[in-house]
Amino acid sequence: MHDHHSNSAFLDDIPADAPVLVCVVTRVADFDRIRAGWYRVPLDRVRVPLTASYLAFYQTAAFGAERWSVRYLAAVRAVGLAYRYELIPDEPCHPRATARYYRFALGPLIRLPVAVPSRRLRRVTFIPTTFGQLLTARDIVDLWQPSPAMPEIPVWGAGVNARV
Amino acid sequence: MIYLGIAAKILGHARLSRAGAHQSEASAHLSVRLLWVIEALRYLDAHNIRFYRLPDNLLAPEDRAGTPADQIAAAAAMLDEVGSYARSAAIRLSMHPHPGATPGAASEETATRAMAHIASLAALLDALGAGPESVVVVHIGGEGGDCAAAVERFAVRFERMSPAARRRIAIEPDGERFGLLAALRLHRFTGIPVVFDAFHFQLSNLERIGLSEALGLALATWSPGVRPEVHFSTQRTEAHLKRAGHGTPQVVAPRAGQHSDFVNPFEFIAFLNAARGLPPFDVMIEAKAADLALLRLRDDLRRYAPEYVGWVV
Repeated sequence: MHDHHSNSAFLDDIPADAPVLVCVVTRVADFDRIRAGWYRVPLDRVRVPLTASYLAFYQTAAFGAERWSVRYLAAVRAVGLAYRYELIPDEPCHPRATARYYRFALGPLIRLPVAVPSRRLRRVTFIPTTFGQLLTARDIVDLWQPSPAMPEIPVWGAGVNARV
Repeated sequence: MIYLGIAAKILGHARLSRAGAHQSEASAHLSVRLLWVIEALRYLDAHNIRFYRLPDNLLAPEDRAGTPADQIAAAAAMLDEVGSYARSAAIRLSMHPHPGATPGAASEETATRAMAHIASLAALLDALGAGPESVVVVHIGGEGGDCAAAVERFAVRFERMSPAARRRIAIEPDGERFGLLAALRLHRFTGIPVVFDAFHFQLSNLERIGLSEALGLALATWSPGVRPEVHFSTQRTEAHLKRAGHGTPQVVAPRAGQHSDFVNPFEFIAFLNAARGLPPFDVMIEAKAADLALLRLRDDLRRYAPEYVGWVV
């Protein structure tokens, strides 16, 4: 009960336009690391901007009843850089042991009120989206759609002038 | 060759723009903000923009995140990554603290706060491994009518700053009380290089110095081998909409000294004409539409002054 209330409070605190990056989790051990407060992204495989206030997690087939869906997110607290062998010292001979990774330090996991399933799409990589879209999406493909609630940035005379 | 640059915000990439607004929240860790800076530098690199003013709020407030030195130490790896990317992409970095960071202030407390802030930004540039051309641009500041006293206060306090901070400071005339001559006077006392601001020069040129001469005087204050920084923007002439709560936006006339959204290309071409024969420098475009204004200015130069294409990048 306590967890439920604190979770709701966290969700209420997140602005709808907060940038969220949906990341893929393929192994249970990696999800344990997320619960422990961190997530890694290889520098050499990033094709989208990683800038996000929150990371959300798409769980693949390894997660039984929670598979093929996004159910959790966590606030990004800090970002570091490390080699894989530093992050996962018990896998020193892994083929990517000397690859460099961003290490995202995360806040506690927050459960979404409604999971976002992937009914058809299975090959998911990173999806830049917003918290508002995460709340309203009915399927993971909706996360790519621009949010109708998201106004375009005003430029000509209607607000940019307040910034400089 | 003149490299054009932009200040802090990115408008041409919607996601970066929104993320930047979120990460300017006081609680964001320096390393998180630096991840945004890396994405911003990638965007600049893709658009061949080689001069960038870092946001002045990269360091979180001390009461929330610890001392600047602690924050810099905690984000060392990301600082190294950002600095390395900037160098490999040949993007010159610069900083410009908020207008209140003025070492010439009459209040000792205000000046002490200003100098601490300037020192923290200088430390940030050092941690990024930025070259000597990466400066912290400040105004003289100081209340009351005695400008000479403010210049002297600045000069005295400058001597009290650390060598690391002193190496990074550059002074910019403010377009109101402290014009080009006051900045040149401070340069004579301290050796601080002067950032020429074309718009501020227009706003406050009481001595009626010619543009070319004024620009040349400022450029001459920079050490040999260090490309000077110059600022350019034009007066806003249009009315704009001001939102007041949830009510109907009000139409507001432009203020004197208000920057325009985009750059008047003909004023910029006149400025380039005045710069002919002077040493090379880089130009920070201080228009409210930021990168959109720079890209538009490049288009305008192609249309109206093709002779400058290739010389101005």
